[in-house]
Amino acid sequence: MNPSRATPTDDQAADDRQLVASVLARAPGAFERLVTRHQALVWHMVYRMVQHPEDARELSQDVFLRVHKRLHQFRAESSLATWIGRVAFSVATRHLQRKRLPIVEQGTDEDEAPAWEQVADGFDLAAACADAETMRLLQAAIDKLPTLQRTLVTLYHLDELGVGEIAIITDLPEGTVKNYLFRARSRLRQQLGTKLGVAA
Amino acid sequence: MNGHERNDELQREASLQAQAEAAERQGLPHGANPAVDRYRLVLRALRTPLSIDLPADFAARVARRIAPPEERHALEDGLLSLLLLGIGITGLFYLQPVLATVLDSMHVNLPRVPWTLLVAAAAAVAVAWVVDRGATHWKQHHASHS
Repeated sequence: MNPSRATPTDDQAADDRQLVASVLARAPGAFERLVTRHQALVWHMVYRMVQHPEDARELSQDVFLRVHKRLHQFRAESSLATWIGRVAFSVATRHLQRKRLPIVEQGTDEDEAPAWEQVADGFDLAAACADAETMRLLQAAIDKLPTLQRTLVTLYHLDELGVGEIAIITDLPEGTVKNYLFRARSRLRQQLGTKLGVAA
Repeated sequence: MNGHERNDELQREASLQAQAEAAERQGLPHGANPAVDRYRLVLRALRTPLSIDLPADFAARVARRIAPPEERHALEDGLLSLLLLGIGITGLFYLQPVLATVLDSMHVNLPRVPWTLLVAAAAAVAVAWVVDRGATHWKQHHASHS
């Protein structure tokens, strides 16, 4: 889970190359296989970035149409997933820019470290997990994270990409990715404490 | 809070996050440290699949959109050809008396048009084309799902 490497393993690279060659040779069903294999990554990223189901579906289609158009440019320097992730990030970013929605919220908590309250004893992880309301509140808190933080935690925790791969996709330094991940998790933990009424 | 204390706090939180990740990865029992457990809950929430997903036939839909133009437009082109052929035959049928009169006035004898044969030939061509397209489409569909 989440290896820090950004380059694909030999097996993965061979598999990617074979699939790409099949698509470029217009082998029946090859492109559909490619889409099936990578649609979860694209959907997670695009949906978490734009947060609008209809727009996200349209954009996900655009991502794969663009992938198909540019697939001959794939050089296997990174994994196919990373390469497709870059396309998805670029498509979603452009969409947000067109709508004048910020990717990075300047001057807000992106720049500030969260202030942690002291955690009281007696937290029951199993009970909290089983509590639908707590999980719903946490999901709402994830939705309210700044766009870039939300995207990075999705790629890292849901899609289980490594920091190196995320850095390539988002064109950010690895240190910045780690910093945003740290801040996002801290913020969620802080909000969890607030929701559960933890004593400061 | 001074910078030093702030730094200590950041390091403490980073350590809690790392412990929580390790504990989740290794499936360790919980309860030893509430602060770590809180982060474990956050990590579980972050791993929860999205409530909304793509349609089940998303990949097939996208694949259809990138089908080669010749394949995608073959049906439309064929139907258009049939329509034009029909318009041509109909036009010829209705214009023939006028054309015959004009040509007759110019002392040109128009050969008698075998309408039944012409329509039968056009119908045969149309049926053959539809059968051929249907067979080709079925083969491609079968190949892409095998």
